[in-house]
Order: sequence, then structure tokens, then C-alpha cells
Amino acid sequence: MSAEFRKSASVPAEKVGSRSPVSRPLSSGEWADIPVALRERAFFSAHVESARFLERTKALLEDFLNEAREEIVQPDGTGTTALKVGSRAHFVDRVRRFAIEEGVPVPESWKGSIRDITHSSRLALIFDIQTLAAQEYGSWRQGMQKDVLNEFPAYRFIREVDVVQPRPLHVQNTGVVRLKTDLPFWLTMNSPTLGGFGVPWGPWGFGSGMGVEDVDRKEAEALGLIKPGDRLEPAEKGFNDHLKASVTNLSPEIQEFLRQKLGDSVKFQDGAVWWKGDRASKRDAGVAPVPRRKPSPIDPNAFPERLDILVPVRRLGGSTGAELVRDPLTGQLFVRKEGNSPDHVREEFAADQVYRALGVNVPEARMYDDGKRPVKLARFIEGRTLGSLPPPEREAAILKLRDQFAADAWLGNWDVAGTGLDNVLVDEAGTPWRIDNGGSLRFRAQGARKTAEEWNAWPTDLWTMRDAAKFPVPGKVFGGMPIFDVSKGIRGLDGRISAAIQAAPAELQPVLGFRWEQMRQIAAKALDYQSTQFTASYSDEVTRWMMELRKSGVFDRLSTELRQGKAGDYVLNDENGVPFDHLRTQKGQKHADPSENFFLVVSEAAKTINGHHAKGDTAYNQGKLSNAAALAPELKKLSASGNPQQKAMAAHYLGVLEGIESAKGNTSSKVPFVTKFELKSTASKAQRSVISELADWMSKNGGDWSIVSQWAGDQAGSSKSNGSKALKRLLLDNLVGASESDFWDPPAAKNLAAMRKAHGERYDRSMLMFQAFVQEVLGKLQFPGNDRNARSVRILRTETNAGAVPIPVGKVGTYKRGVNESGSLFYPVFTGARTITVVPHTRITSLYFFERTPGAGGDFLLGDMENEATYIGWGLRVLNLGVLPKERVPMKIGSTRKEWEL
Amino acid sequence: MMRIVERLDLEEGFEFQKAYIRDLDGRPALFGSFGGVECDMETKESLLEAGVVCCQPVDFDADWPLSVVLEGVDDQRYRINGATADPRAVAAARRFHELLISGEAKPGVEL
Repeated sequence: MSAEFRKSASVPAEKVGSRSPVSRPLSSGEWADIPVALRERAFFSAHVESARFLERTKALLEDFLNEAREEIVQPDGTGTTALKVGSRAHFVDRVRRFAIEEGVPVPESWKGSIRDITHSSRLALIFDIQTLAAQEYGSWRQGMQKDVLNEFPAYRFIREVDVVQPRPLHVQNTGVVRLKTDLPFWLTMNSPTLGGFGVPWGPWGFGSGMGVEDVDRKEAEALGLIKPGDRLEPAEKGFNDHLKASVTNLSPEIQEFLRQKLGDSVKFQDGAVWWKGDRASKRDAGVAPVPRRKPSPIDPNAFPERLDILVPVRRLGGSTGAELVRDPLTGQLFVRKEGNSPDHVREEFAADQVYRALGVNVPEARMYDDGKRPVKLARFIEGRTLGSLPPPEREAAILKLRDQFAADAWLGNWDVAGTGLDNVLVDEAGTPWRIDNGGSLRFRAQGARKTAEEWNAWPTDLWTMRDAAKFPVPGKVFGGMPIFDVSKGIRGLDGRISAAIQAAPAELQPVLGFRWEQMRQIAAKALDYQSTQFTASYSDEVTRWMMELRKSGVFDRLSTELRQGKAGDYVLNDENGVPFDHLRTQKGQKHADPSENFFLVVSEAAKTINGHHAKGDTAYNQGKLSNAAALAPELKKLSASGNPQQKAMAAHYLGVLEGIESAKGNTSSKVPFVTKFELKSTASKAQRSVISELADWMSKNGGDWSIVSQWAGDQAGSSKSNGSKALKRLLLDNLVGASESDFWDPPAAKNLAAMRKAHGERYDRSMLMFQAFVQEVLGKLQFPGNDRNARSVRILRTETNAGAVPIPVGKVGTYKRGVNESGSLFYPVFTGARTITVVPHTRITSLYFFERTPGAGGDFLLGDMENEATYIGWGLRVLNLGVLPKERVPMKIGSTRKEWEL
Repeated sequence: MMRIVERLDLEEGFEFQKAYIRDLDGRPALFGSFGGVECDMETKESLLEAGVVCCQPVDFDADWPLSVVLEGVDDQRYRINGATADPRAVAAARRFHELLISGEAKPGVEL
């Protein structure tokens, strides 16, 4: 014990002095059975029956602790004072001599052992334990003095000495700060179950190596342990007040013994012993208890108030400096992250908040801003990384992640899985946790800002994040996920979306709201495709192009409504009286397409060559060949002096002419398939039609409007043309559960194969882009017979062969039709049996509103008078009106499905 | 009303030969032979009115060289691929169309 301590501590001796010497031949084990509360009140030593000896021992300890001095005579005869007990050795020597003088009995077999009270080791142990306990108690008492307590209201539990086997609870709570008055905590640290002494002060068990240090008020306030202005009351009295020790397990003999020894200051009642002054006694005496203010309890799950108290545990790797830390106050582990920039970490925190509002498992987090650099603190989740799981468990976790993929796509969280699948932890219950969302919203995972192309109002992430070829990392988890599952996920989160948007920073809320609306619409469309029996892959592609179209601005000039002048009119006008709005190029803005004529002429020449070669002759139509040859000078001129587009076009057609010349005369040769060269429109944006915009957009994205244009031409002439049959086959192949026998005159696979051979992958892509365009027009444009809410269109169809409709007149039923039939929107054409079908948007494959040649302003199919739409009638119910004059077919159709429901 | 502005169906060896009614998937349909190549002759009223009938080869592994260019009411031109303006073919098609409407079109009948 240091001299400084002894000088400053006036209370340690009280601890010893306040105890009642209890002499009784109890063993250490028997004493251990005595409740702590009683032992604390007794000064004892096992198997010592001599009260006189104990009194003397106790007095010597008090002398040591009090630095009591005594007059002594020095060898030279002079008098002086000296410490009565100056050291441990001195104590041992004096007690030992006293024991021998006093004749304290020691069994023969104990002599020389630790059980021998006269043995120096035994006395040294008594000295150590008693003085250390007194010292610790003294410190505690001192700390409980009101002024001291409120200046230094808390202790930090610290390790003073390294030990071989630290107690786990002590390890866990090393560094923890708690109010001195938090007796439950300190008693837990000194619990007898850990080998402790059952008191709220040290020592904290034999060989614990633990200690405490004062924590000042400033820090305690910062930790939230005490509020500014609050005053703490010493807990010592409270501790004593609560000293109620159970004596139920003690034998009646020992209870009687304790009653005799401690009886004046205690009351035995109901199997327990109560110390004087306790509540029970007061209650018995009729004294109302004084309510005491309890110190604010510490929420063991609370986030720390300050970061500087956190104890680093280890670095967690990654590019943004994540670190595992522990809160010494609560023992909780957190992940501390600063990101690559303040904005980056704030964005990640925002993403976390939104995820959590959506009900997605993301560790709870808080932001701390010390004025220098914001820090995100997230709860540490115990678990294994997705990448470290065995395949079956990983697959199970991936399925769960996929349920909430919509949230990842919405937030653009490209790095949700992590390169090593280490951004997802899977806990013991198999629940995946998204633990690193730094690649969300406006930032990439490593902190760079996403470009405007990468983060915007259009959630194309719904597709890119499932594209394992382009985005390998999220693709590992979401690759191959069907659009139908994605859409169900969107619907599943829809109910929480308002709260999630509210959880986002204000500046992000508009874009998040817009993105979600886009996703909601895409989900509705995709699920419509599913319910109308399209394959997932087809639905996926069409909806993907729908989103890309929206993003492209193709529809910028499209009105919201086309109106009829009167029922049956087929030329519809926008609100300004412009026919078909800007879907077509308007009069005065039309511009010739030089490529169109070149294409028509050279393709006719190629057809006569190929047609005759197929029949094994060379009787070509010379007029067609000479017309084509006559184009050569103009094409060569353009090739030499035209603009880059004209040069490219000229090269294209000159190549066809070369092919024609090369094939001529050789019946085994063939002119390669001729395609139209699509010139980009040079018209200003204000003059360009929506179709012109579409054609350019298709070209930029690997499609080709001329393929659509060619189909429109083929369809205009005959639905049995090669072009018509190729699309039919493409559609048939993408209808779930459909077989050729379900359709009248089903198309052959070779029709589609021929188109694919001619155009390569551009064929499917172009046709699906067109389908996306049709869906967008149906969704954006109000016109009679189009219920945009019910996403249905009324279609009239006339069967010239009335016998083809095996449904009684006036009745509803189904019958076998072609895969992609023609119908009319506003009034019936041709002669025959009239039918009405309510067709879901997803089954509509084209509309006559468009222009076949961008910029030319003409019709799309054969002519507007046919007011044609093509559709897939498979399985759809039909109302047979019978063979009627056109005028008797209902033409006032309105725009809600109820008005024309079958 | 559309009108023919250019005949691109005048190919030696692809001339119209005959037209006949055949059963197609349970329904009567018009077929024709053009230079020995069997064609499906879809009869679309608006084309018939313009004097044109479609002729799509059933099995011909090459470009089909017959087409017709029409002009619509708004002066727009349409090239109809796989079509002919051969008067005999158009006449047969009109006859078939009438039989179809009257319910008298029977497979096996040559027109």
C-alpha cells in the first residue's frame, strides 16, 4: 500500500473497525456459505475460536491502516514515536507472537500448514486480503462522498495486471464505464459466481487483475450516464439498505450463532436477515420509505454518444477503411466507417436508412459528425460472408436476397454482394444482412461519384444488375433472376415505399419517388405479360426496352391523347388538331428519304436474280436490273462527295450492286439479303417525329427500324408473308404453353430462321424494341377504345369466312385464330362476321398510328382506313356479333373497359 | 381507294397459271400456281379493290420476285411484296372472296 493512499484514505480502517469479530470454528467452506452481506459484517478467520485473538488481530490491522503511532524507547534510551504496525512483516510478526502468547489452539496436524493460524503464510494472507479489501473499500467510500461522487461520478473498469486466465466477463467489460452508483453492474463484476467477493468494490476476485479508475463528470455526461445538473446520491447507504441476506440455507445452529454475534444490528425475519436502517425495518417501524431517484439505466443496446471512447478491435479490410470497434460502456461491437469522402459515407448511411425503412435487413447505424469528418457506426452482425458459405446455404441465402432485389435496384446498389460476396453476412438463422451499401445511390463502392448516365430517374439497374456478363458481381447473386420474380419483389415492397422515401435525404426524395414509380409500372407490365402467358425472357426484354425508351426521350414530343372527331373516324388528332400528333412527321415537315428509293430499286434487282436462280434460270427482269444499274453514278458521286452519312449509304448500296453483278449469270450464286440503310434524320428536334426519334434510338442501341418497316410492309400486303410469319413465330415461341395446334395456319420455324439469318441478332432485338414502343404508346396515349387503367384495348375483327367463328351470334367464346391477327380499332372493315375482343395491352403488337418511313409522314400498315392493330387473340374471349353491315357495329366505344366489356 | 402505280410482278417464268380452293387447317383457302410455285393467295378486300392479290410462295427458298406498288389516298406509295396484279389471278381471288362470304367456298374447286 502506498503512503499516498494511506494519507488520503481515512476510511479503510473503518471497514475493518466496523466489523464484528466473530470467533467460531467454521471452516473456510462454511464461511463461504454465509451470505456475503453477513460476512461483510464479520471479522473472522476460519477455525479461530479465540475472540480475543481476533480482536487483537483486528486492532493491529486498524493500527496499520490508521498509521497509528506509539511511543517507543530507542536503544540509546531516548524516546520517540513509531508506527505501531509499519509493514506486512511487522503485522505477521506481532500477530504470531500474540497468538503464541495467547495460546490460540492449533491442531497438531495443521501445524506448519496454511491452516495454522500462527503460520506466517496464513497471517500474510489474512493481512493481504484484509488490507486490500480495506484499501478498495476505502477508495469506494471515498468515491461515494457526495462532492467527489458528483465530480467523478463513474468508474472505468480496467485491467491493472495481466493474468493468465482472465475471467470472460471481465474481458468483455474491460474499458466499460458505469456510474459508481450502478450497484447491479459492479456487483455483477464481483459476483461470487465468478469467484468474486459479492461486493461492489474490489478486489474483483482472487487473481482477477482488474481495477477501476475514476471517470470525470464531463466524460460521464458525454457518455450519457448522467445529465448536466443532475446530482447523484451516494450508493453506500443504498447498498446497505439493500443488504438483505438469505439465511434459509444455514443450519439453525449457525443461524443462532450469527444472531448472537450480530444480533444487535440485525433482524432475522422470514428466512432473511435485515440490517438496521433498512427499508424493512423502517416499514416495520411505520416509517415511510424515502423515494430515491434511480440513476438512469444504461440501455445495453444503445449507440455510444461519442466515438472517442470506442476501442478498436480490428480492421475489416475494404477500400473505405471499415474498422471493428467496441463500446466499452456496453461491450457492444460496431463497424466504424468513414467512406472515401464525407458525402460518400453520408450517402451510404442514407441508403442504410432507406433499406431499413423498406424492411430489408441492414445493420442499424448512426452518423456522427465531429465537425471534421462524418463517421458511420453500424452494429456489428455476427455471421459468415455469403461467399464463405457452402453451396446449399449460399443458394438459400441468395434466394432470400433476391426477394428484396427490387430495393437494391431502386437504390442502384451495384456492390450489394461485394466482389468476394463479402458484403452480405448471413447470420445463424440464415438471414442475409446487407452490410456494405456504399455503392448505392449517387456513389460507387469505392467512393467515386456515378455519372448522370449511371444514376438518374430511370432504374435501368433492374436489368444491368442481373446481367452477369456486364455486371459480374451483382450478377452472381441476381443473374438469371426472372423479371416476374423481380416484379413480385417490387409489389412486395410497395407498401413501405412512402416510409422509405421519407427516410431518404430530402434532395434524393424526388428521384427516388420517380424511380419507384417507374419500377411500379414495369412490375405491372411484366406481371401483365406473365398473366397473358408470355415467357419471362420475352417480358424481360420488352420491359427493359420500355425503360430504355423512357430514358431516351423518344416520347418527348408525344401528346397524351388522340381524339376522334366523331365515332368511327380513323384519323385521330391531338389537342391541336394535328393528325396522329407527332407519331408521324407533319405536313410541311416531311422530308424525303433518299435511302428509300435506292433500297426499293436495288432490292427488286436482287430479287429477280435470286428468284430466277432458285428456279435454275437466268431470265431476269431486265428492267429491274437496268433501273438498279442506273443508280450507280449517283451513288458513286455521293460516295465521293457526300457527307459521312451519304457516303456510308452509297457504300452500302454500291456493295449490293456489286453483289448483283457478281451473281448475274451464275445460277448457283445468290445476292446477299438486301437491307435498307437507315439515314439519320437531319431535321431539327422540333420537326422530328416520334418515329424518327425511335429509329435513331434503335440504331444507337443495336436495333434497326428498317426491319420493323419491312415487317409493316409485309403485314400490309399479307399476314402470310415471310415477314409476318417470322414475327408470328417469334411470338408463338414466347407464349407459355402454346403449341402450333393452338393456332390457325401456324407459322413455321423456318420463317423466323430466315429472318434471323438475314439480320442476325438485330432481328429479335428490333422486333422487341418495337414491341416495347407499342406498349409505351398504349400506356401513354389516351384514345377511344384504350383503357389505360385496365390496360386493355377493344378490337374489332371481321372474319370473311363466317364459318370460322364457331360461336353463336350474340354469344361469347373462343376460337382458333392466327398467332398475330389483324383487327380494327374504331370501325370494321371488309365483309363478314363481326367480332369484338377485349385485348390486353401486352397482346397488342402494332398500331396503324405510326409512319413506316421516318420523316415521310405516311401510313404504317396498308392504309389508315383499315385502322389496323395487330394482336394475339390466343385464348381471349370473343363476342360474335354475326354478319352485320358496318354501320350496325357499335362504334361509340368510350375509353373504359366497362363500356365495352364482353 | 388505292391504285396501282408500278407492276413489279412481270417476271418471266413466274406467271399466274391457276387458282384453286384448298383446305387450310379446317378452313377453305385460296391457293395458286405461279410458274409452278404454289402460293397462298390471301384475299384482302382493300387490295382486291385496287386490283391486286397477294401470292406468297408456300415453299420457295429464295426471294420472291413478284410485287406491286400502290398509291394511297394521301399519295403515299406502298410496295406490296408477294403480290400480283395479273387480271386472271385477281379475278379468281374476287370470285373466291364472294364464295367465302356466301359460305360456298369448297376445297377442291378450281377457279
